[in-house]
Amino acid sequence: MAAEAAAALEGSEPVDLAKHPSGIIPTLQNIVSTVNLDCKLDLKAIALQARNAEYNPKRFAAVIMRIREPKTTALIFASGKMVCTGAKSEQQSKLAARKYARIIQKLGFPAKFKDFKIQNIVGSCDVKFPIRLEGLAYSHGAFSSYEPELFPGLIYRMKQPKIVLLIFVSGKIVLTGAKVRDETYTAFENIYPVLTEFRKVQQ
Amino acid sequence: MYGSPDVVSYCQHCQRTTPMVLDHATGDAICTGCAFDLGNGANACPEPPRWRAAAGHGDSDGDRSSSSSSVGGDVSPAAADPLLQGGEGVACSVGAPPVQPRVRGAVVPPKQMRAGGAVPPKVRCGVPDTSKALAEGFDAIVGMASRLGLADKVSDRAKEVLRKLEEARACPKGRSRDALYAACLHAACRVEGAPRTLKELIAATSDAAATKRDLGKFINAIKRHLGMEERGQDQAADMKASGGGVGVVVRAGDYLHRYGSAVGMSGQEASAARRAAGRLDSLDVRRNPQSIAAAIVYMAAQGSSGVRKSVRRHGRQRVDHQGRVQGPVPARRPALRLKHTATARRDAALLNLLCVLRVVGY
Repeated sequence: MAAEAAAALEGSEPVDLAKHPSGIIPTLQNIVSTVNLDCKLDLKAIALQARNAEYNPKRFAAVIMRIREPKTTALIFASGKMVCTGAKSEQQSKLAARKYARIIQKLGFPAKFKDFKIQNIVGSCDVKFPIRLEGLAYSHGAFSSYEPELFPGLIYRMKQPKIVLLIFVSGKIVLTGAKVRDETYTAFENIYPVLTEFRKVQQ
Repeated sequence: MYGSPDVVSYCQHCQRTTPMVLDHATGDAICTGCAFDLGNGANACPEPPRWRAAAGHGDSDGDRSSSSSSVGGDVSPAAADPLLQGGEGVACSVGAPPVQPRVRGAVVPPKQMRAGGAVPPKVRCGVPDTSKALAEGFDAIVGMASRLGLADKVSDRAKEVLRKLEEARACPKGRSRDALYAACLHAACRVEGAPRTLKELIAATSDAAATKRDLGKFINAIKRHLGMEERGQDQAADMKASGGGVGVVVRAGDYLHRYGSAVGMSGQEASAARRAAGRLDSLDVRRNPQSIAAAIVYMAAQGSSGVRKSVRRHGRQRVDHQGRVQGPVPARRPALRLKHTATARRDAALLNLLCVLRVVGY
């Protein structure tokens, strides 16, 4: 119900062209954040007590814990450091991290919540027209890497802001490497005129 | 009476070469024949009288007696005191000779030894390592080039790429050297307008040990460090070919010639294939260029009349299809045909081509 209401509201609300001249707003797909629980953890005890935890020390030296809402995955290390992935917004990522910290507290560890930081934001959007990747790679050779035998998309390393974009022939774009949301938006507004320039015109 | 002489030098007073005794206190050289001081006049003021008096008294030869008598006449009033001081002088002169040679011997040789030992090892250590690595790389590149049937020009360019990477210390660490050599060949083939697929390059490495991922890493490293020069060369090549196949991105057309000759395409089929490849830019074909080239070759081979048609299982269907296509839009036959295959019969076409290539032994 809440999600549907939010979607309806978002759909009806017009795009702020002052901030998004292209008329397209990238959708945030994944947030990676880190937090320091500031206490040593007994991973084996955590894995035994928590239902939603898996721990294979031979494979990976952290407990992998999941919660349903927000739907995220956490990597919890013996040093007390934790990585939270899978959230769709910064607020959700922080909320999820707090939930994991509370779970650790309930298991008997004096967990705190220090130095929470958003480490990476992944966004995606669709420009709705095909793109001539070869022309783009040739024209922006200093920033582009396009090897169709290795990867079907063009890898564009933007300098300012420092964002990596994956540009596909279909017109779908993936933006990664942002630490704040506005970096993703700025990167897309920077690349959009280039994409229109190399629009593939059907004959 | 006195010690052995230190040096042999020309005495202006005696008008000949005579043994000399060095006075280390003042740095004077004194002739043992006439006791004439050859050092600095100012420094020699206090010493000469005593030394000359001592020499005069000690000598009994005729020539020396004459010179000593003149000196003795000068100092006759104070004979007693000069004798004692002269004796001390003799003692000093006796002590000096043994020390000097030792000092000289002790000081000079170590410096020479150090100088000799320091420089050569550094030179030896530095040069051979780099040249050895390059030599190994060059041998590997030549071997791979011969296995791929590449021209000497291509392998020479690949060696140049490797040399530049080594000089720039741009090689990513912890990677297979074979993948590095393959990446250099990849760059050279690309620039020469005859690109090779990654699979071909990987197969050419010794034991085919390189992986596509390693190769990709090195290819990106080469682009990052030598991209400007490559682009310049590409532009030059483009100008020469006036828009030929050379470019920063590999195209399906680049593979057509080799693929076509591998399966024995005729001239007519080759021209049809090139025309089809030329129309690719206007179509939205989202496939690996290698797959596209394979599909084009397959369609060109199937499209032409000849012995092959009778061998194919789908010969009749292909004829029917051609008949229908030829009717309405003959000018765009290759494009329509390509579009049709790309959407509907892609997998079948590629599968058949792979069978053909395998039979040919490609």
